[in-house]
Amino acid sequence: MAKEVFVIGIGGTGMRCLESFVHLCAMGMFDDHTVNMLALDTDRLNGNFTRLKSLIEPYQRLNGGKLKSNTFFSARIDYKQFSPDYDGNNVTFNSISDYSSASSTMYGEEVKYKESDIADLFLTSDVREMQLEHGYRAQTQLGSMLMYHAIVEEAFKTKRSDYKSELRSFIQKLNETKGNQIFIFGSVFGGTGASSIPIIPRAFQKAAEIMFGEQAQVLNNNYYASVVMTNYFSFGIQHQDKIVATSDKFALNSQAALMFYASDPSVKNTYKRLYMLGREKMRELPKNTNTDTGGKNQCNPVDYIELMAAFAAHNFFKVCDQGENAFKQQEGENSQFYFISLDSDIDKLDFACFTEAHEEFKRKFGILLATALLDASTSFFAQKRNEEFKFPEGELVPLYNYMKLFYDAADSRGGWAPQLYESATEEYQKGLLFHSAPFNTSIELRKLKFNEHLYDGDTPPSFKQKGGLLGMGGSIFNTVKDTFKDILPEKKTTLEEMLQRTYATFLSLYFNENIK
Amino acid sequence: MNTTIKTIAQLQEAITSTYIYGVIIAVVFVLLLALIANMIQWKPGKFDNSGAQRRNVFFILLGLSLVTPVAMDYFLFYSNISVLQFKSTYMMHMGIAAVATAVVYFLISFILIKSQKRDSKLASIFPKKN
Repeated sequence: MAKEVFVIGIGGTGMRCLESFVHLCAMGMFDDHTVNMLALDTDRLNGNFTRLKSLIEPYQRLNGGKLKSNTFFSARIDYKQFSPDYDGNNVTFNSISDYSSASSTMYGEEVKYKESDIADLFLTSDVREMQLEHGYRAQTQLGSMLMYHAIVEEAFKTKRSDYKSELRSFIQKLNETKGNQIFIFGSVFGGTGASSIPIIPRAFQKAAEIMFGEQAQVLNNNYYASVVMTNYFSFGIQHQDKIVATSDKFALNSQAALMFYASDPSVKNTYKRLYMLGREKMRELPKNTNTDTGGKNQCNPVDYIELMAAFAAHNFFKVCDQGENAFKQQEGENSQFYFISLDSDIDKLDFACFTEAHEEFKRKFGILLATALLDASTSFFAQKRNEEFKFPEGELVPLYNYMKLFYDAADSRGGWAPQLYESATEEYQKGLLFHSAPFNTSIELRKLKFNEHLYDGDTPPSFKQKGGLLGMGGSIFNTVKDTFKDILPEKKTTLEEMLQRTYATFLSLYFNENIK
Repeated sequence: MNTTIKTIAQLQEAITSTYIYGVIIAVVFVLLLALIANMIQWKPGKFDNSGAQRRNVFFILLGLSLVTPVAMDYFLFYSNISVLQFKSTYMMHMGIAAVATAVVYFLISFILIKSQKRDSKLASIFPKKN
């Protein structure tokens, strides 16, 4: 059944959570869904932000704006983005708030005061003079105020008829119906995410009232939830700047934010659910990775905890389907707390560690990974297009672009899936989800027996290679191609049909299930 | 089978057997073609050239379908003919049977190939144009 959801990613961590969310959509975990996605970052040049954009573009072309099921790229993603305009030199709190005017006039007779005194109470001079082009740098007291201001200011700008605003389109969509399901991703240990999570629903409400009139309603009658991600990585960066988000403060920032969320009535009244994610030991990001506190160099590697965050959204949308009763609290109860923790003695993160829908996840992730491995090692799609399908060759480009971001065989197993695997190996001896072979750079790709070494476990899903004499000496490619030709043979024209058949082929090979 | 051919009746019987064997060989070769064609695996890459390998097998079997009946008939029948005049008569039929075998092989396999779905291994021997 068709369904519409809203997801918002805020800050660098939010971008990476959205990235994981998009990959879940690509696997087919959100069949028949329309996903209204908003990427909100103060830092336009942020490497994670640009990586998300380069992922969304091929995804949207491959999806073609359609709702689908039982195939890859099945959810329609309507992507919007918004960044406060902090480009250029010397954009600081002082310049935005016109601090110099506020501090120039003295008022009062007995007690002398300036308008700027209120700002001085919360913001030190270093913070007030901090360049904003790299975000709020863990200064949440500043960030909350400026993000609210930026959203409201954007709402006023849209009153000009020539002004195009993606934020307006997003909020307009929210305002059109009631009962919308909105999930917000962001960290509580950095700057932008931590600043924005508490104020976003209220800022949207204010913006909606400015843009669509007093009767606009995006706050009440909707289901808001968020994932609160505590410090899960650390990095060592030397900076000349006075104010910088350093990872040694992440734990303290997380504690402060959680205390605030647990007691703030605004947060508690707005959010139906807050999912909190964290890990015992922080992941030490190697110095050679693109870690930074902002700018194009902030392109932190993927972490499995971001995939868990994406599954928090998956869970929330399922719970929302049960209606208001799912969130009703017993009388006298302030909040309900649930927690799940992983056994300390496990050596691998399995599919069930991520979601209750682990069987579906196992099938769909495995099929997409097998597809990426097949095409990377055999040029399967190019060959099928040349032989059978009639679409122009250029239509394959988005698919290649997507696959490069999902599993980049050329870049010594780069891309999202290998980075995801890598993120778990520090803590868990056997990594996560799959067999180690697809992520082992010492195994040549064309020699990779992913028919047997894709899944791990006692009886992993697998298939035998066919071809050769009496079944000896067959190849994966031969087996897949032979199976492919008999599955949904009437679909032989478009790229969409080719992908659907590939999906069905691996579903049949690994799981012996057929799509009619 | 290896009895000496001395009478016209025996010659007639040998000629009939020659044609029957020709047809059997043709059918066996068609089955062999189907088997080998399916054993040759699809090749990865932007263009799959495994069809050319199967085509080679097709033509090799076509050549063999011409040679094999001749060789077989020579040892089974021709070498056992004791009457000199019969030899030239049988030689003619041996040649016709060999050509007939090749033609039957060609026709059956060609019809078989063309009746396959375009993405099958047999069809890749003579691929259909887009």
